[in-house]
Amino acid sequence: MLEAGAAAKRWCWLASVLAVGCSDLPDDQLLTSAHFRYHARADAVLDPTIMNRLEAQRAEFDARYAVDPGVIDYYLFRDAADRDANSPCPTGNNCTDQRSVMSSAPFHEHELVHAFLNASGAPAPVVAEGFAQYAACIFPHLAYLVPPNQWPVAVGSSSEGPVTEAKAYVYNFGQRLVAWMMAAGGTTMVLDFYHRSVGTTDAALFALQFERFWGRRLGDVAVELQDARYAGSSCPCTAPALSDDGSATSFVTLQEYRTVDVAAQSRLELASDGGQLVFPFVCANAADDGPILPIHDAPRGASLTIARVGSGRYGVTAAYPATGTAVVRQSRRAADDWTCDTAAANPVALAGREITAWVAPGMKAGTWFAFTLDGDATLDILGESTEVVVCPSCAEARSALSPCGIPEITFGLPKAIPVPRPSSGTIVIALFSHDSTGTSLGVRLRSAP
Amino acid sequence: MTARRGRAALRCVVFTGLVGAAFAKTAAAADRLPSPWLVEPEARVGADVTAGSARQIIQETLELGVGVTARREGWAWRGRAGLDVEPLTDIGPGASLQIFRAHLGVERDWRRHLVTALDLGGAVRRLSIADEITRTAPGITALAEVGWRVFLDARWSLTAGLRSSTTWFFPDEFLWQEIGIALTLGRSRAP
Repeated sequence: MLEAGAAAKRWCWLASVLAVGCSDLPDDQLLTSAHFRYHARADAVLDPTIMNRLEAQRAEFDARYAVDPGVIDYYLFRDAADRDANSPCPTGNNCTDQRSVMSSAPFHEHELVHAFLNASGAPAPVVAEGFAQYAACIFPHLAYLVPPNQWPVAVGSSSEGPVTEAKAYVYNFGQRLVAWMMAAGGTTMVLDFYHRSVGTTDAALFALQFERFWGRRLGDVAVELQDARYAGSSCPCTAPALSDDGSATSFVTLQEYRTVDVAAQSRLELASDGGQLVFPFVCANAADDGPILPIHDAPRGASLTIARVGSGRYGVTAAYPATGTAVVRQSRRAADDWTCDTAAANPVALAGREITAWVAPGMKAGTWFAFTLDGDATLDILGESTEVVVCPSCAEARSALSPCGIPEITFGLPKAIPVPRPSSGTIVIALFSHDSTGTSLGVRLRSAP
Repeated sequence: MTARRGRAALRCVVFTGLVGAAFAKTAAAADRLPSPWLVEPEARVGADVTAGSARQIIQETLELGVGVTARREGWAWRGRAGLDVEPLTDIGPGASLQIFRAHLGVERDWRRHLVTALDLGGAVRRLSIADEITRTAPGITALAEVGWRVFLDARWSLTAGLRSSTTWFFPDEFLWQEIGIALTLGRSRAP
C-alpha cells in the first residue's frame, strides 16, 4: 500500500502527470471487465482469461467482506525496474494507490486486497498490511512471531522501503492483530475499526485508538498474538474443487486456487508435474492456522505433497515458481492409521522429486511417513510447531531414547538438514507438535544437491 | 488516587499557579507601559469538539491558554501571541494526551465588540500510555476566531469566542481539527 513516505514521489508523479498531460503508467493494452481495467505495455503477452480470475477473486472477497470498491485499475509493469521508474510506488515495492494496483506481477493478491478495501478507510499501516496478509487464499501467509514487547515498533513503522525487521513486524504483527480482531469482534467490527483507524505511525496514537475501540491494552493483546490461532491467513474457500476422479486439474499459479472436501480423516496426495509446489491449507476457521509456503526455493521438478487431513474443506494452492500452470492430480483415501509400521510398509519413493509431508492442525498423535531414498537427501522443517524424528527404521525409532535425532528442530533454521541415505534405503519420519497450539506440521524432503 | 494522578494534579496546580503569577505580573507591567503601545495579557479557558480523524481519538477537549496582545492606542488591529494547552487525562487505560500550541497572530476589533483573529504557530502532541510508551510529535497549527467582547470595566474585558483550529502533525501526517468556544479574560481597554 502506498503510504506517507512515498508522498514526495507520488507528488512528483502527479506533477509530471499534470505537467505533461500523460504518464508512464502502462496503457498500451487494455483489457476490461465489469470491475477491472487491466493496463499493460505493448510488449506484454496477456491472457484475456486473467480478467475472469480477477473477477473471481473480487467476487469471493466481496462475498466475504461485503465491500464495494468500484472499478479497479490494474497496471502491469514490464518488470520491477519499469515499475520503480514509472510508478509512484516506493522503490522495490508493488503498491496500491486508491483503486490503482501497480505491480510487476500479473496478479497480485495482496495489492488487490488493498484496492478492494480502498473505500473502506485509510488505516494505520499495521492494519492495512495486516488485513492484506490475513485475507489471502492464493498466497496465504504464515505470520511469524513478533516479540510482544516489540509492538511499538510494529505499529509505529512504515510498510515501505527495503525489507527490515521493523517492516517485517508491520506485516506479521498486523496479520496476527487482524486475526485477533476477527476472533474478538467479527468482520463487522474489524471493518468498522478499519474505517475509523487513523493512518498514523505514531505507536502511542494507534495504541490509544485501539484501546478505546477494543477495550483492551495493545500491550496485553500483543502477548495473546503469540498463539498459533492467529498465525494464518483466512480464506472463504469458495473456489472450484480439484477433480477427484484421477484426472488432472489445472490452475494458474499464484492467480487462483482450488479446494478439496474431505469427509473423514484421509491421506491426501497432491502430485504436480509442472514444477510448482502444491499445498493444502485449512479453510474453515483458517485463522487457526495457515499453510506454510517455502517461497524462496523453487522445486527442481515434479513435486508431491502427502497430507494427513481431517474432515472439512481445504484449499489447494500452488506456490513458486510464480509463473505457469499447475497441473495437479489428487489421490485420496481414508486413513486413520498413521503409525510407523503402517508407513514403513508403504514407503514413497523420493525419485528425484520434492516431497512435502503435511499434517493438518488438530491431529493429536504423531504422524509417520516413510520414504525410499536413492541418495542422500535434505530436510526442511516447515511448521512453526513441528518436531521431527528421522530414523532408518521403526525398530530404531522405538529403541532409542533420543531416536535418531537430527541436530535442530527449530522452525526455519537450519535449512536443508542433511539426511544421509541409510543402508536400507528407507527412512521413516515422524511429525509431532512440540506445543499445544494445534498448528499444522510439515517437512520438505528433497534429494541432496 | 494513584501516585501518577497525584503527581499530575500537583503539576496542574503548579502550572496554574505559575500561569496566574505570570498573568498578574504581566498585567501590572502593562499598566506601567507608556502610551501609545498597549500590551495587555489575557487568559482563556475553552471547550472544543474534535472533527475528522481527531474524533476517532477524542470527542471533546478542554483548552487553557494565556497570551498577550499588543496594539497602538486607537488602532483596531492588534498583534497577539499565545500559549495553549489541552491536557487530556484518563482518555484510555492509563493514557494521557497533551497538545501544546504556541502561536502568533492578529486580531481586529469591529465596532467595539466584534473581534476576529487569525493565528499561526507550532504545536507538540505528547501521548503517553501508562509506563509503556510515550510519543511526541511536532506540528503546525492555524486558528481562526470570531468573538464578542464586552468590557467589564475600564480595564478588563471578557470575550466569548468561537474558535476553529487545524493542527497538522507532520511525522504521521495527522490532522487534528477542532471547533470550540472560549472565554477570554483580558486586561483590555476599550478601543
